[in-house]
Amino acid sequence: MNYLAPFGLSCFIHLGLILSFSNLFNIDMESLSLYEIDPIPAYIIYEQPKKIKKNKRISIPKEIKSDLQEKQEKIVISEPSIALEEITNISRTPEKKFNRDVVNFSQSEISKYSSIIKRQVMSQWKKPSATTGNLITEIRITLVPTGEIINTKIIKGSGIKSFDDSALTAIARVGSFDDLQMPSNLFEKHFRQFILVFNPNK
Amino acid sequence: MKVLKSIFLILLFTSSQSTLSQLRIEITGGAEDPINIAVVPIDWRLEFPQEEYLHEIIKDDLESFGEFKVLPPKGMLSFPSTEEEVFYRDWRLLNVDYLVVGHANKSEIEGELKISYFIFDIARERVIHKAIMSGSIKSIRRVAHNMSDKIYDKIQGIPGIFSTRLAYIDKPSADDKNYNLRISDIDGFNGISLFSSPQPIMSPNWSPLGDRMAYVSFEEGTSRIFIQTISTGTRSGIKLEKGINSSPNWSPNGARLAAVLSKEGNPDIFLYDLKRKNWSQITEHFGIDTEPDWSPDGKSLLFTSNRSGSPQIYQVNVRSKRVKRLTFEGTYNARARYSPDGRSIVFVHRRDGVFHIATQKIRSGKVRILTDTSLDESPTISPNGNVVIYATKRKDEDILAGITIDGKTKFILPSIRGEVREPAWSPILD
Amino acid sequence: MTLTRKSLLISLSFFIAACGSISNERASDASAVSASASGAYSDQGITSSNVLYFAYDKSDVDSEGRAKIRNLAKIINKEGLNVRIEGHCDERGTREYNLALGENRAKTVAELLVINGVSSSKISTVSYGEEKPAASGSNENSWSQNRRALIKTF
Repeated sequence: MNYLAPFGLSCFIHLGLILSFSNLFNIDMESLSLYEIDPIPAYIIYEQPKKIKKNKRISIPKEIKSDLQEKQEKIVISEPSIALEEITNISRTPEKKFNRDVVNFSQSEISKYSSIIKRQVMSQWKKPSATTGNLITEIRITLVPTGEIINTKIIKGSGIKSFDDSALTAIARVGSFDDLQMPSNLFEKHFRQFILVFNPNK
Repeated sequence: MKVLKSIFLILLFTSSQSTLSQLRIEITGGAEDPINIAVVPIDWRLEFPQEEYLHEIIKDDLESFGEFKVLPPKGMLSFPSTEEEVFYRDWRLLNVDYLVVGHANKSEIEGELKISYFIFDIARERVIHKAIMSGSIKSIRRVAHNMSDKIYDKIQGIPGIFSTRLAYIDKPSADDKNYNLRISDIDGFNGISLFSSPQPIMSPNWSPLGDRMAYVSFEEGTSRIFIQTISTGTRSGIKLEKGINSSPNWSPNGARLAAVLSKEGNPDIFLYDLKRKNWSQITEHFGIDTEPDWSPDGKSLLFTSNRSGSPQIYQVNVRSKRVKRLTFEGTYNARARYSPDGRSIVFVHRRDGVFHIATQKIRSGKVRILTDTSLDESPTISPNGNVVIYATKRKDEDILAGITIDGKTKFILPSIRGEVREPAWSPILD
Repeated sequence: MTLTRKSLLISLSFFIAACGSISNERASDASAVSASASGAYSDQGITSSNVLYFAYDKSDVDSEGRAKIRNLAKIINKEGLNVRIEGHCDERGTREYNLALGENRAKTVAELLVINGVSSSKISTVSYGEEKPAASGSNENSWSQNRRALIKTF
């Protein structure tokens, strides 16, 4: 009896499953990829480049890397469109045949949906009076494609409970974002999970 | 093998999204609208009827400064009094942000009642505060103010000031030939005269614990500083010196009074030690130095001085006596008071001949005018730093007016009748 | 002074007794006190009262005022009178600062009297700032009446 074929198949299936949950098993997919890695489009902002773990670093082509390093200090984390205005001379490589996870989205699309989100959160945020000093709270939001908020997590508190609470309350009041119909790969890339920075001192 | 290879590749590609970088969206401001809160009439479970309604007093408190909009009972779909009776959806439909429910029961202590209450965040569907409060049945207003303070604190993150009091002076009128130093609850109720005199009274100033008042009285024909214990009425004048004795201002630890004496030839800032009963000089300048105010940390004093040619605000370190000028805009800046956090000042500022109340972050030198009234004077700041009450004129009459520190809500104190001046906000009282 | 102290104590005790009749919630935690008119700085025995007026924010005396002071000085010295000078301001500006300005005005007049030969031991000064206006009203007409120094002789 030829046990090799079913056995091999079973191995492959298990390998596939393991690779699907590569994040769980802390396997670095990028280094196993058979395809050439496309350069990261310039508008993706590394807010804390120092914290990127070594085994997850993507190899960035030299010319973009030096430009990025130059620009990193100057990039203000706000609307992606602003960041993009500062990074004008970094070339973008054309789309590859296989658009697995590196797709070119125009800055205007990202900022359009960011504005929609910003507007809806602002309209529901009742700032407490205790806004003396520079209070900033950062909350990570997870959405589903319908716009519904399924998870919120404070990743950086302000130190003042009522301020943090007011931000969470604002998000709870929104509940589900309207008018966020967008291409699914844009959603996956940027809007399934993002960070709201509550900073009234700007 | 080809089949296996493609299966391998397919399975390979179902790797999950790597989240190396995330989009950040800045929320730089909020809604300007007041916070919508519903205070359900407290379920009264005592035998005798209530004379005053807690929810009405709380409603008046919370709406005082434009920060809250309180839903009246007629707008409510249900009247819960416990946690279990609250259906969040009902309140969400009414666009309510926060909800207060509770019930009042008899206490084991004679003359007291116990109130169990809950504060809910409707959007997040959770209780943000629950407590049992006890209070005297005769002081329902005080119980209500305490609840307002707690509600305010939990939502706004700063203490409420609804249990504080205001001191002020009213001048002789047709009904009363005397000047009166009065105190009342901050909502104007329970006004009482502490001191009455046919001669002028000036500059009331609360002790840090709110148990005593210092003030200037002209009863002996010239200005003299007196200290009076509020509960007993006992008063005594502090050591009288030649010339002006005025502008008393209590130190944060209650041990000393800053004041103004002109015994050395011109008005200077002095300190009076209440235990040793002696004066020590802080400023020494041939001009006018007056209107001292202690910093919250007790290390320095603000004062008004015309040493540069016209009145400006200065700061002096009590220990080193080093003086630093704080105001540089305009030709008249006087009567400054520290904010409770010690970071900014509120003072009288003249612009284009008009006297306004202004504020300035201490080191910035930049003046922000708060009021659009004129002939404004004697600003006093609430202990939570959020509201300023001051004296002004309306149709030639002395009245008290107020404004929130962000300038958005303005009001006039209506419950004080007669011509009144020199408001002084009490500290937070226990 | 003893008379004042006595009357003060009497009125003090009277009003502490009376405070029980104040019917409100806070009656138990505040007590009212009253003072009667003091004899020390009253206008009893006054022989004359002269007034000098001042410009806004100024304490210097004009020529008309100086002439008045010269004449007064003669009378004061001749009759061995005592003088009390009261300084006043209009309502504009802060109260305590105005107390200091009022004192400036009183002192300026006192110095002029001394220059005109009056012994300084006969002169006392007091400032009332803006607390005792002669005219009410928030206009220049009232204000100009309030910016004054009163020279009272005894």
